Amino acid sequence: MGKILEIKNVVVGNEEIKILRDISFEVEEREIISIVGESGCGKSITLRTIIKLLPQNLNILSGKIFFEGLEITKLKEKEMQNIRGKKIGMIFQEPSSFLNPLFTIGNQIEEGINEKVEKDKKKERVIKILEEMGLSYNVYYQYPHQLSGGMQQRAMIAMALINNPVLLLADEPTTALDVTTAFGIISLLKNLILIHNLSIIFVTHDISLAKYLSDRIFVMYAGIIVEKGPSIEVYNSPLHPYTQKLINCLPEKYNKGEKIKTIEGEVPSFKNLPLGCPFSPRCEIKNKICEKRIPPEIKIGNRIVRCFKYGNFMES
Amino acid sequence: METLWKVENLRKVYEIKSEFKREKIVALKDINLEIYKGEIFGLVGESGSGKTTFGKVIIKLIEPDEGRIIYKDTDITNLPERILRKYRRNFQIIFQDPYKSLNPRLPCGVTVMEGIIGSKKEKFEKAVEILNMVGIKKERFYNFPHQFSGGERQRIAIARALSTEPEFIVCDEPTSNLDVSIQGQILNLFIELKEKFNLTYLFITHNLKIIRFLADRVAIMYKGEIVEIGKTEKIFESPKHSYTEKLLKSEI
Repeated sequence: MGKILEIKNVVVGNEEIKILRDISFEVEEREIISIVGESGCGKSITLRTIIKLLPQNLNILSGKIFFEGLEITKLKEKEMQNIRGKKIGMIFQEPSSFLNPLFTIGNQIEEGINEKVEKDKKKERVIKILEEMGLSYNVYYQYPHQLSGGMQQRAMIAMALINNPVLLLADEPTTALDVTTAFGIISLLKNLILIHNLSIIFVTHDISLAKYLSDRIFVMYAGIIVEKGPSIEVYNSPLHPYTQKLINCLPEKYNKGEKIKTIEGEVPSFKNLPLGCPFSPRCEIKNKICEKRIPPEIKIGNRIVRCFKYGNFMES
Repeated sequence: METLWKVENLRKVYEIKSEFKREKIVALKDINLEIYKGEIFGLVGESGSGKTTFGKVIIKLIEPDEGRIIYKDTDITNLPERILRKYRRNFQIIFQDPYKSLNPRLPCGVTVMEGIIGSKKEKFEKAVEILNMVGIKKERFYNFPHQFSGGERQRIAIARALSTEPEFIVCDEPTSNLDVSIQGQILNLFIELKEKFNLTYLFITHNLKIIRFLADRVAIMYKGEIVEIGKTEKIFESPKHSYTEKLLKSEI
């Protein structure tokens, strides 16, 4: 298996604030990766960095992003357009706000086809992909308001995949959906990686969903990936204190009537980040060193964790 | 157990009228159920199944078309609003999005004060006390909704609901906009308050994990009908209806 995407020590921000700090990871072919964390941890910004659709006041300050071996960090907007939408697709949380209400679904998906082919061929291709998504032929002629939330999300996925990309970025695509509908979408995504030879980066705040769907989980906190590893291992035996506490917040871990152990305090705002490990103000096992330095990546087996607890830092 | 609410053959039809078409949507189809005092009654179903309509009809925010709603021993279905007002203090509702349900122009403390009866001083003191109970400090009494985080806003919405000293609260997906860690805090708060004030909840959600954790009894709603009702453990262990089975299977 080859690497699709490689991110090396990326820092995103501006003169005043840094949103992403030293992010590094790789995505293999046909791999599903979940990025998990609370709101305001920089999950969505990570996705936007990859596709280079950052808000105007943010820039990639340092670090490198390789996509299929090509460095895209310094690419011009024109060149980036050859990758965005063609090689990398993206879907969002609220499908209704990304679909144009004035055009039919078929029309909108067709618009995205990049190669120059005849109209009939285009239509054929759109209908084929709609059917793959579990939608009927009729959807081609329908307008967004005629579809339910789940169907709209399927149409969005069809749109993202029409050019056969190799990487799909999914920004909380199931958060706005019902349990049963969400389950349908998740099963669909799982099947798609087999048919389309696709890798997926899935952003969610639901760690049990991440465990179910993905091969590896990255846990993010205040712009830093604090833990990386195979999903089941991360879920069953989390290493980083933040991951441990996050999993301990889930109601399914408790019997009825028990008190949920929550995380004291709040996610720090990016304007006001602590000097050392960003989790140190909420951490119960913190040490002096935690408040001075950001922990480095420490490798434990096939997992990587950023906490001074591991390694020989505690004595110093 | 004492029955707090009794609902008989409740029916609600929405009529959609436009220039082009007339459509009838049956939101509630012959609903019969009882809610006992002191329990957490879970209501589960997908969007559009009529959960929210039920929550609103039972406390008469929406008029039902047919059927009876009995609160304790009083039939409140056709009570005129002027008499119903006396009862209204006893039941409250907490909505999904606190930002939409809090008045953006009122300081949060003042929002809570509105529900309290007494002199201005008493109102203030009581509001401070209630806010303190849900974890909002006195210093932030005059802050506006936009100055709070999502979890804090939901705490204020809870404080407002408590301000009239209710005995029954409809919680309409109160945690689905929140992060897991905040969700945990709010769920803890619900349990704590329930014990403190002897409250009864109608907890509407589509999150089965929360229902399993929280609810004593649960009703499964599908297309305006209650397809299954019973003790939470029993329904989760041996679902009878095919829709319930499907719902439980899709739990990740």
